[in-house]
Amino acid sequence: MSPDKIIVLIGGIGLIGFIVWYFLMRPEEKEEARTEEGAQEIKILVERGYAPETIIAKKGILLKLMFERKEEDSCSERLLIPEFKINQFLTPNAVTEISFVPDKAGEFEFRCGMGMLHGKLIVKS
Amino acid sequence: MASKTVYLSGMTCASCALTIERTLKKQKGVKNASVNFALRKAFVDYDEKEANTEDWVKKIKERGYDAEVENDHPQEEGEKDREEKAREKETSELKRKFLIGLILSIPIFFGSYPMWFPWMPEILTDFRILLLLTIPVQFWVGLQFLRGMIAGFRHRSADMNTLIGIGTLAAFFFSAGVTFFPEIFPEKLRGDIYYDTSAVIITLIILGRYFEALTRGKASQAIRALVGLQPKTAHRIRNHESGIMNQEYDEVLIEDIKVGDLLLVKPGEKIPTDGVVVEGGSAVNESMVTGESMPVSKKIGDTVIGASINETGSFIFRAAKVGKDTMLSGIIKLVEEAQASKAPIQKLADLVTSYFVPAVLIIAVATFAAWYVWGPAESAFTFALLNMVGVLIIACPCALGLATPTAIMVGTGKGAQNGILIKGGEALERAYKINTIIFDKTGTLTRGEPEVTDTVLHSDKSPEVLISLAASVEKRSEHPLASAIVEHAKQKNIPIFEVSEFKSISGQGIQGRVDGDIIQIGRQSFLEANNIKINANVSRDIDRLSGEGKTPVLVGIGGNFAGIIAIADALKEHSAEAIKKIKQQSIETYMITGDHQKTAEAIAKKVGIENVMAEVLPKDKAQKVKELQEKGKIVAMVGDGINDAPALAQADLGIAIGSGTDVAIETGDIVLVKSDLRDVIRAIILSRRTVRTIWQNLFFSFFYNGALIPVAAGLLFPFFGILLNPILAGAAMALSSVSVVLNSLRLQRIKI
Repeated sequence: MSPDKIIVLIGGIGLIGFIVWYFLMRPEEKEEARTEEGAQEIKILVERGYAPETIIAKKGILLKLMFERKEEDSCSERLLIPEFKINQFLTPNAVTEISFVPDKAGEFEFRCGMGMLHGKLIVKS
Repeated sequence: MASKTVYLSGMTCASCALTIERTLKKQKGVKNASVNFALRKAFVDYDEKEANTEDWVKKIKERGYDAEVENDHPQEEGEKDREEKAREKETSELKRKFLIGLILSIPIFFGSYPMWFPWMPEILTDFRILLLLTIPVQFWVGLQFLRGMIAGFRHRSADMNTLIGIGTLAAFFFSAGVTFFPEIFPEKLRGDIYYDTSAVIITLIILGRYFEALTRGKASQAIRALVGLQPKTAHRIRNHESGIMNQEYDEVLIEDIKVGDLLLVKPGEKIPTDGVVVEGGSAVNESMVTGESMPVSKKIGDTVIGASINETGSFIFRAAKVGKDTMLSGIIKLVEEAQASKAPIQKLADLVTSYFVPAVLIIAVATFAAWYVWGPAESAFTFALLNMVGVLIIACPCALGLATPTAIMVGTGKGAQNGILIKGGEALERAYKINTIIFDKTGTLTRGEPEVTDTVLHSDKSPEVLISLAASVEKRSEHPLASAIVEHAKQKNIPIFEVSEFKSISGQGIQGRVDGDIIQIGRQSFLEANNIKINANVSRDIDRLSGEGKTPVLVGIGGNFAGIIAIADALKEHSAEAIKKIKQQSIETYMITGDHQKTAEAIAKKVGIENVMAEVLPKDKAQKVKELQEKGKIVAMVGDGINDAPALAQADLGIAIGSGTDVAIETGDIVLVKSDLRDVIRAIILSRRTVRTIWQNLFFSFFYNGALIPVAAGLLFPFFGILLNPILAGAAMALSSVSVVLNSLRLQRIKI
């Protein structure tokens, strides 16, 4: 095997390792909603995904999710929280507020309309 | 100066109102504020430049109340408008990008193959010219892919943009390298440039996205159409006096209508909100809301539905529900919620998509390395590069993502247009599996209002006299059968007289004196106890009527037997037809009722149902459903949603039949807005077709990716010499997601 082939082979294996580590072993970004004046609020950046992707909130207190959609690509235009029956259009390059009272504790998914982007809402009692 | 309404809550007394009023008046820029305690509203006049409405809310909340300023929250319509605008912007931009991409790609393509197109001017075959032509395609037409790729990298996530970005950039930069620094490449690679690959792929995928955006807009058309139905203004009557023609009215915005307002509707106008007719009458086309195709006649006391269209006459009605409480708003909300829900089948697609893109990246790297190391010696690099690009381009995660939501969107939208509200993916899937349907009798198969069906005479009295005398006495009774007779008399304009000596013997019958004659009404034993002779002919008639599912009421006049009035809860017009159609789908049918076995059987026979569950108390209905489920049947329960709620919940699929505005939206997995039983089978057919469409879409997208990625990687090459040109991969990718959406859109055209 010629040296260039060995380099490509080793480089390829290394790159695969990098892909696995970079995209699949990403640490979970968690953030707790701030409570102020009887309401909890958190800002979520929508750009190729949700940041933070895991939100922690308290049960029974009005929760304001401020989704800042920093893209025009239609993939992220809908925000669904099936458990709380929320189906909201997010205006591109703007902040859209979704507020509701999480009346049940547990882990709930939120996602885009096509189910490609995912986030998690943890409601603690 | 401007004015706004602030909606208040948490006020317990008039002094709270004063506190809030004082608080508001103290705010910067507020000129005047008045709080109406009864309406729970504050009306504020303020200077727009100085005032900050958010501060008002904050201050009111500090005092312990809750407040919301009007229009601070985007309204439903506004949201739809914004969505529509975003979509229009997207499609027009994609169209422009496609056209420019196309104009540039044509010379790039021809110029890249001078051996096939020798007639091309030589200048276009110059690598540097090709590079110049490709730059705008790669970096402007394809900018969205690059942006998406970079943003993805930053957030450590990869999607379709990553794949297209890497694929096209690899082809582009390799070609650019050959163009400027041919000497660093082995001699045999110096003639290879792939500007055409990158440019044509980007143009094709943009075309695909354009089609996808167009078709995706169509998928949500139904719900937008529903929102668009909402009328904008209404004529509010100032002082209601009799006579429709000389009313004075104000033109008001729909948001300003309050419950109790009197509104005038002229021919051809939309009815502004839900309410009850108080004067006049008309025929109303409700098809857009309920799916009912025939115009419905409306007279005083009838309910009208907001957003339906008044056809012929003018009328005045009292607003009963406004804003979010109207039937149309309820339907829109339900459909939106349904589209937010997730079909259980989608779980598999979700799992796949979360690993899909990184997996494709890994396959692409492996493809490159494998071809480079083990590929044909003379052109290993070319194969390695092209096959890697092919893998990256052909993979289409979007098709997987679009498979379920688009089908649910079109399916539920189609249902809503026909008065069938399906509450989400799970309901669809359960409807797909149903093999048994239980129908509640009263109000579902039948009208739920007992009516006089026959009058059988056994004397020389005319039917009118029989009904007239019976109705006169029954008018005093509170029995449900009594009201059927009285109602019948009223409808036929048969006179009802004063009664004296009225007497009611519970469970037996009633008697009274009309115009001198003693009238006795009741069962056989009651009349016989009063020395009225019942002969064999009468007994035969009684048996015959009972066998037809009717309740015979015997009437004696002046001590002699006069005749029988038969009362039945008539079947709805389309019940029998509906049952026949359901049986054609090989679904077993049951009827459940509290009626006596004999009556129940007679009705079941008439409507075509074989299995009868009679003498079932309302509270035991759920138990009966459970018994069938325990026998392994997958059961749908059809009921009116109010007293059948436990049974509807117990069933695998609860189908609630609403009528008019009383849609029992909370109960049931499927709500039928009209009370037409044929909608049951329509709902099931629609659900089955929708679920089938989801399966087709998922199969197609899994098969597409599963089969074509290995082909693009060159797995077939060692055996059959087959390789996939990356440009073909681009075309396939562009078509794949459009095919999925188009397949979903086919649901719009099915006949249900």
